[in-house]
Amino acid sequence: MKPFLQRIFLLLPLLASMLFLNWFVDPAHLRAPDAYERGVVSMLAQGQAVTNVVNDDASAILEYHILAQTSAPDILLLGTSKSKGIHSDFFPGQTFFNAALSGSGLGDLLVIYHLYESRGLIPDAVILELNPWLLSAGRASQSKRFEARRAELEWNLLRDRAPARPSRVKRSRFSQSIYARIFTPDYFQSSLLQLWSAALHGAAPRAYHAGDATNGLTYFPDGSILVRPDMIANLGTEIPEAYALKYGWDPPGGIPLQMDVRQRKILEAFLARLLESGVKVTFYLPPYHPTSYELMMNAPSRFVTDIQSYFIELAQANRVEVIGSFNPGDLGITNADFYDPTHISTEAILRIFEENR
Amino acid sequence: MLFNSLPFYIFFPLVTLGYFLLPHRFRWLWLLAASAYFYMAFIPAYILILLATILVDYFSGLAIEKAEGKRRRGFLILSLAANLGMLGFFKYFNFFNANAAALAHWLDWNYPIPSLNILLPIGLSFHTFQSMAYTIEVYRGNQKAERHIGILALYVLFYPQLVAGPIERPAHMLPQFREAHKFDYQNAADGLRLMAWGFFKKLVIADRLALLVNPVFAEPSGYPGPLLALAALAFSYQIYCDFSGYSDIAIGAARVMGFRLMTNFDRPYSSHSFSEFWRRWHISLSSWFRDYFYISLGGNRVPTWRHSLNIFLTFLVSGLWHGANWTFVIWGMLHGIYLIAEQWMKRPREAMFRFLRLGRAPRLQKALEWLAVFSLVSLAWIFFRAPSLAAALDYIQRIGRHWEPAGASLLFEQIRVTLGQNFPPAILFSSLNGAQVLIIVVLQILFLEAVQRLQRQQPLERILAAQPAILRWGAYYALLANILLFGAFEQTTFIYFQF
Repeated sequence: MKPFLQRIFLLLPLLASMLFLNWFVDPAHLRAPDAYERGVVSMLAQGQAVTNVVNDDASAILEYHILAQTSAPDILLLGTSKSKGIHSDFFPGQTFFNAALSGSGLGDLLVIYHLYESRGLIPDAVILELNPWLLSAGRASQSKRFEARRAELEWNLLRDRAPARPSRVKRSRFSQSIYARIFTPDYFQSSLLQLWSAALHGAAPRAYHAGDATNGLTYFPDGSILVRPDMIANLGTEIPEAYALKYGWDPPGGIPLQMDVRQRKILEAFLARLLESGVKVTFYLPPYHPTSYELMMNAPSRFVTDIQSYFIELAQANRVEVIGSFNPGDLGITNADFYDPTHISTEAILRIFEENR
Repeated sequence: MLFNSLPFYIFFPLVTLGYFLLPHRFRWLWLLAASAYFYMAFIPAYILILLATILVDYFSGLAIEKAEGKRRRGFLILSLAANLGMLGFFKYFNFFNANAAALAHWLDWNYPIPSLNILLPIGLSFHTFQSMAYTIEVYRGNQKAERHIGILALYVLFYPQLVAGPIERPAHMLPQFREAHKFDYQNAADGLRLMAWGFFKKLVIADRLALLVNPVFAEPSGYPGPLLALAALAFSYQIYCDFSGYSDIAIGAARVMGFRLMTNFDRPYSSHSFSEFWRRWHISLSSWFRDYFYISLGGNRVPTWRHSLNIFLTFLVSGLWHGANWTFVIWGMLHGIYLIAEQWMKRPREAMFRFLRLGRAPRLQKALEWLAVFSLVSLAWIFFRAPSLAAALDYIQRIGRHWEPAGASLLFEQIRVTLGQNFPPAILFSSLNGAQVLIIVVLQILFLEAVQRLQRQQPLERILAAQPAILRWGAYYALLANILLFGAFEQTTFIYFQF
């Protein structure tokens, strides 16, 4: 067995270089959880835009960013990446914070709002971006970070209890998953990509800095995010179109084939709580890509129209304003308004909002 | 537990090391415990099905050996009924029930039996067939009944081939569990090489092609004909690399410990006839059907029409073995028809080749034969892959549509967003378009075919072992780097697990 083991050790350099690269680049910042995100937030809190943010935990940035605020904004936006381009220029004369989180489920929205409410910070108005998957039990939460708090808040909300104080985030420096991920080949691929991408842009792989967008995303002090304009321009229309075809039958986030009763109750209870607190609520229904929407209408996903009807009935019953529609045709949104298969440009969102003013 | 998952990368060396460190008398127990753990990583409760099967076959085997005359046959029937009953209940109840309900609805009859909400135990068809092979062999007098229930349990549960074969025979496997294997450098090295090759097939080719195949088969109406044709061809290679990759890993993992599992694939897509294809594809299953079903029906020692019927029935049942859906039945029937037609058309085909004077160009004749076999096999795979019969027919119809050159740029974008998804080279070189992504994937397939061609003379592990150390290690490093860079690491299950 000895000669065999000796020869097996010859493969060690390959394994060692994989581990070294994973450790050194650490694309998901496993080695120092949250340190990267805290650094970004400290700059945002000073009013600086931060760019070259790569592989961040967006939920951590959002949480620290909200906790750094000492007063509630006039208008708070809760939603997903579909709304992340909405910025304070949309609402002149009012303070605004964009608390949207990519892929949020209903539970995530509860936790994010609770970060304000638990500190007695109640905004005047809340824009609630509603997506079909909010009514899917399987998509109650996207963020692992918010998972435990989500369950607690839902439980309280369904029993009409006052929300508890937010429990502190407990994270060990090295969780089990860190060890597991550092050994995985897919993490190696991510490390390699990040290293390569940083080299192409002449930046250190994990650097972020104040200023204009150069690589990755740019975060703004009002919570909005800018996707680099040349990234959008490079996409052209064919790539979004090709992805939109794919998403026509398999929409990201999925579309439930029936509305989950519990999720509906949670949404209705959340809305009731907001209205009881004197908050003016506006629903925002983001449009799908025209190609995706057309395909969805010929598939089980056409249930999206029933979900939209439910959201509108809910709004009417509570005298809540509705902006937008899942159907891009209702809003005059075309393929050209999409910079990728799921997101419309900030200008297109502004157009939708202006028409409702 | 999946072969392509982190737990297996820890499980495998630990189990192998434990196997060699333990005294011989405890090794069966170690392997049995490890195999049970391996299986229970999927759905723990389903181990009870396996235990029930083992108990029934253990006592049936002893009873068959002891009994004579009709009682012997009775015990065999009892064993087969128990095995097939289990298979029938978990795999086919809902299928036959749904068809009976549809028939009753058509006849306007009341049909009160509801469908059952049950999950199909992983690899049920594989271990059931392996179990049945044991009692049939005991009945035929080719195999002594196994006295040691632990060894028989290990024969059914042996982890490398438990969930997707190769479906072994008792005469081949049972004696191996009694052998005192010593650690053998050659076995260990050969086994690891084979495993690496299996991972290449699974991660670099099968899982990459799945990124194209899955969306296209899920919604064929969203894609033009050329992409549908490409996805159908891609599925031919996906299923081959997925399943033969699994077999290579299984055979390699067993080989490291000194066990020899039977060969399951032998370059099936190099076949020039359908009978050759079935001698090369899923060999452990086709030989099982040959030995225990086709020959029981009379094989080829019957009139021609009956021989054709035997072939047809064998492939029909083989299709049903793969899944409780009409798509699998049609797939099996198609292959049965191919084989019958091949026999019946032998003379007309030879006459046609003479007329076309292809005898002067034997390579061209071979190429045409190969093309016909590969195309028809790929056509049958569409039925295998499609979710329903209607979907398969719709898919085939749509292949002929939208071949306009104007759609080429969108076509290549569709290839890019499916096949090129999470593809490191595509991301690293942001200018890489769909055509280039396709070329890289095709090059990997050509590499596979080239290596397989080399294996015609001797197995890959032998070829490598004969090379100088620098070349050998260079090849290992290149293969592992290829897997790391080009592999699709989504931890997808192997397609044949569902059977």
